[in-house]
Amino acid sequence: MRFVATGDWQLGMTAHYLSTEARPRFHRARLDAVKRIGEIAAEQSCDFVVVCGDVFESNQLDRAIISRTFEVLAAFTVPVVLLPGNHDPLDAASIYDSHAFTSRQPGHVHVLRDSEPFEVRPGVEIIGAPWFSKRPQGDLVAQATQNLAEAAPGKVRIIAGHGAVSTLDPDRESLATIDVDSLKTVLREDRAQFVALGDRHATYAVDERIWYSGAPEVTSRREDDPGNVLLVDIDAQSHASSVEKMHIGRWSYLVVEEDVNSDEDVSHLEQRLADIPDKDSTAVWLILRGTLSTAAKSRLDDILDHATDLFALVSLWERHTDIAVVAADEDFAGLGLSGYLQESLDELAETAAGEDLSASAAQDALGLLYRFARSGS
Amino acid sequence: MKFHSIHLRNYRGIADSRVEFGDGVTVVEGPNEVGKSSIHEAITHLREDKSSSRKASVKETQPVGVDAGPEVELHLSTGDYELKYRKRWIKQPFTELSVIKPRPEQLSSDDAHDRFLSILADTVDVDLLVALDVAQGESLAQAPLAQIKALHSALSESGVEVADHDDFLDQVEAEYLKYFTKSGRETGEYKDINAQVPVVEAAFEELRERSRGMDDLVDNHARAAARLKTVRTQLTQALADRDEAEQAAKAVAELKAVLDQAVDHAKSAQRDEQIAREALDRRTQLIADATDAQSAVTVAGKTVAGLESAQGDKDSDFDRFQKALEEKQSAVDDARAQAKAAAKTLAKARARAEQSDLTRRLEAIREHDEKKSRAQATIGSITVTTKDVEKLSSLETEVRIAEHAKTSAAAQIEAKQLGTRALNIDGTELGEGNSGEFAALKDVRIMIDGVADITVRPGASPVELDKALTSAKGAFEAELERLDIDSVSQARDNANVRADAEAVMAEADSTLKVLLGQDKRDKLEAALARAQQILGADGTSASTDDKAGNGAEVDGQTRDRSLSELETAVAESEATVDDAQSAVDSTRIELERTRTSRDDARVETVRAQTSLKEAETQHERLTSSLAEARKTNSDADLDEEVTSAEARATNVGSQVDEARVAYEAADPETLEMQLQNVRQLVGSKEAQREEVRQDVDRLSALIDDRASEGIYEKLAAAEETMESARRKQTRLGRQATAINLLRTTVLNHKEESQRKYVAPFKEQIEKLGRLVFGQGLSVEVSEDLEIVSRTLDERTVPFESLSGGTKEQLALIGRLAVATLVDSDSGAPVVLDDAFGFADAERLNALNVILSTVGQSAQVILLTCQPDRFARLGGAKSVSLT
Repeated sequence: MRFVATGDWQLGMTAHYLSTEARPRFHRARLDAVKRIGEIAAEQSCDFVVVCGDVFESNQLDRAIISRTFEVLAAFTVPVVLLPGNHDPLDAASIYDSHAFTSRQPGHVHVLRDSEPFEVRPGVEIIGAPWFSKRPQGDLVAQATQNLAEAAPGKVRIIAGHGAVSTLDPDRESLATIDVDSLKTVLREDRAQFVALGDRHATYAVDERIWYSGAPEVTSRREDDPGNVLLVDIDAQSHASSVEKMHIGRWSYLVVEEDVNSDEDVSHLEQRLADIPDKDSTAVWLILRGTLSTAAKSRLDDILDHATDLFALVSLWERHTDIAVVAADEDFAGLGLSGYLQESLDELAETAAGEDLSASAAQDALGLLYRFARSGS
Repeated sequence: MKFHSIHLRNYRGIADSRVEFGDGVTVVEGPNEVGKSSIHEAITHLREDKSSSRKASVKETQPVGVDAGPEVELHLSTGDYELKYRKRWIKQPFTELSVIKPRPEQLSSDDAHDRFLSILADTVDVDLLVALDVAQGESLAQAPLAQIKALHSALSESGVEVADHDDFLDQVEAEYLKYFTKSGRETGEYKDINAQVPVVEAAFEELRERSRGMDDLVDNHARAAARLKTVRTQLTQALADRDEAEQAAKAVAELKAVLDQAVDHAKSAQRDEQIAREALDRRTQLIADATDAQSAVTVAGKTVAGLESAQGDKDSDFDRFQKALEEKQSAVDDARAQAKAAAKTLAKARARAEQSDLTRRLEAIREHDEKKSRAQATIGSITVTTKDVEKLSSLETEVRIAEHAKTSAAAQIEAKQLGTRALNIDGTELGEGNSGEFAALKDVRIMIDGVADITVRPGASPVELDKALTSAKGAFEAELERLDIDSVSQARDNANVRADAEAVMAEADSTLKVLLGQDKRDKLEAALARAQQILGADGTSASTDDKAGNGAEVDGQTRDRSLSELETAVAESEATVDDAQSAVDSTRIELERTRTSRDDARVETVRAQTSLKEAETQHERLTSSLAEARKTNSDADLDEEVTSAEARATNVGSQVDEARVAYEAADPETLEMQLQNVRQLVGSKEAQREEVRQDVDRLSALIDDRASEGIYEKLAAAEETMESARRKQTRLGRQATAINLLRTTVLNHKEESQRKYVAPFKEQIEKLGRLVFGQGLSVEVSEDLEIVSRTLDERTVPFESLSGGTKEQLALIGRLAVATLVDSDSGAPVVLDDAFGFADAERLNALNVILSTVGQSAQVILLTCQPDRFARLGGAKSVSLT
């Protein structure tokens, strides 16, 4: 028996930090990823797809997203089992209870609305631990599994959960933290054969048979391994299992770190940016450190302006970026500065080299001085 | 440059004049028209105009009426050169330059002119030369110092010359104006974005609040739903509790019904018992009453017997007193007869005296009086009046009414004679077979001949009726008696006769009144009557004289005794009468007392007899009642009835107790309170359920409403807008900050360098000027080295607004300052033509000090027509131009 474990589709999610022109692509990318999951399920002869929570980004979404989602799911050849997570809990505003959802729900799309066993295929049942609010008062997975009996040979039981596990975030005070030890006990006692989890957007194996599939498409620059789905094989008789990670994400969020201390460094960065493929589905955060002459900084600004036009995002990660601009003599030597202009240059250069807040303003002013003097010479 | 001397020939009004200048201040004095201004003019011409010049200004220097051209020779040193330069214009013009130092040279014509200008250019700043040369009337204006290189180089020694970066400044200004107005306010995109950011932030915040509000609604809904579930559970429990309580209440109600029924039974049994008891009590009372009645009869009987015997005694007492009274009465009568006789005797004696008198007098009226007397007799005999008849008739009617009433009330005797024996009732013979009715109003005697003599006494008829009848009869009979008649009809006849007599008497009476006159007739009559009566009391007629003798004889004895004796005898006999009478009275009182006693005894006897009768009747009645009652229920039956009723009441009472114990054991009050509580609980829980359910519905509706809005997208869009605006704001802010900083820095440095540059000049002006204006002086000097304003004692006034004198003084001080600043070799003499005309004496003194000071380092040439102005100028060479 084989199935696709995925989660955190976060359909409807927007990325306000992206360029205006990149945002619709980002939005569409999520639905495209779902479409690919359907294709993979078919190609890989999977029995079903289980989505472990946060199918939708929010219950407050415009209901139009449901139609678009069903349009994509309609192409699936296998059942799709959806688990409500913390972003789309089964509360009073639940998207799953909206008329748009209930009136158009395709037959092969099932929502785990409680922890009753759901037989997705003969011999295969899924125990869901859906979220009913954004702040559950306990370990939902533990509650869902506490009364499970041992699965008989020929039967397979899969647990679909959502939330942080205790081993990943042991100090977390959340009441909803999923206790890994009790899950391991359930697996060891053969009361279930696999635990598919959502919430963490990067793929991660908590245990041999406890997995976070991660989001199929990246959502944050902090994620270290996003864009995957899991292909899970379980032998119905032996209950032996294997997991294969498949990358399907098209988007990448990159953090580019460079030391820039010379014109050559600037050129190197330029080349590095140029080498990145699929620029229009790539967001880049730059961490730049170093000291540049006014002329080199001016060139760096030009390069970044150009890159902004190509990438979904090019942004200086301000918190980590530290570029000092110095008024190098050679920059201004040929510009014929004299008298009070020279004095102004000297003063700004001194301020720019300082440590206080006025330094960056002085660096900017030097840039202007450089520009005006150069254009006049 | 220094001027050593100047030599003018045929120049304007000057034929030939030579002036030697000192190294310091030289005052060239001379009256007007002498040509001191010509010195100033000549130096200029010499420098500027070639000897061949035909300019108007040159021609004007040709003296009138002299056939020779104007000629000027100037001896001067400049730089390393010492020169003598000479020109003549118009007539036989020529130019000569003699260079004395450093190497002697001799030049003429244009060569000389060119060479002179060349040397001048090499050694002195011509502009300076011009600037320090003040012609007459030019002293108010400032010299154009900006172009003077000598001054610039002098100033450059201390400051740096201000560079020319206008293009750069233009770019800075253009960039600056993208973000700020000239007055420094934000403008353009920068201003717009700064205004926009708070707006989009507010919009974002509003949407975020709306999103949070949605979350709050969802939370509230979850809480309300949980509450609804709890309330529903509570309601179910309350309903179960209520049903249970109602069942318990029903059971208690049944116990209560049993109790009520038992209580009803008990009340019924108690009533039965009471009825039996009362029957028994009545029986007992009846027996007691009968016994009491028996005793009463016995007692009454004895009383009657005792009273009857006392009655006999009282009757005999009365008879005794009656006889005693009769005896005493006869004694009184005897005494009264004697007294009467005595009195009669006395009266006769008196009457006799009166009789003859009265007889005569009355004889006259007797005739008329007879008539009246007869009538009066008639009236007197008939006392009955019509009115009396009416009254009598009315009284008779009253009697009849009373009688009838009494008759109706009295016992009726109906009698019938059955056989032949005569039956006489109250004297009425009935006759055989007859019958009659009789009212027993008084004793009725029934006589049956040879058989019986029965007296029927009427019983006590109703007192009121008797009284009424007696009263009516009494009244009627009293009236008959008063009227002295027998019947009403008689009374009516008498009344008619009387009426006639009254008419006759009235007539006679009126006649008598005339006859009587003053005397009352009746008085006379009475007196005569009395007299006659007295006289005729012995039964003899006194009317005849014959008899009178006889009477006199009889009365002779009487007459023999005196009146007083007679009167004494009368009194004695009257006393005897009184004594006898009082004996009668006392006896009568005693009799009355006895009568009263006898009557009282009679009343008491009758009363006792009546009581006895009543007692007997009562006894009889009670005895028969008792006998009758006993026929129905014997005394024993009644006792039995009471006993059995008591037993039944006791039995039912214990049933009530049992029922009450059972009822109270069920604790009905607690049950009722519990039932009420649980009913109210159901009510309140239902209300609560409804309330919470409505709350849940309301929240659901709100959530549904808001869920369809797509808040997430709107919020995301608002965030994008906000982020974008903030980025733009940051970017523009940086740029604005940068250009502002650059501009400020550059302008500050430019200003600073200018300030430094003009500083020595400014300082020199202030140093010299303080001599004139005082220590509080400062001036502002522009980039163009013009005095912009003067500040004195912190009051700043623009140069143009200053007074003429002050302007002139400041302008000349400016020139003098330049002269002192410029290096004495490369400098030029200060030539002042007719200056300081506006200065007052005090300032003039100060200016003298200044000129003296300046003169120490520079050559100053003062041309004046008023040498007094410079009288106090120390160290000056004075030259008089004549």
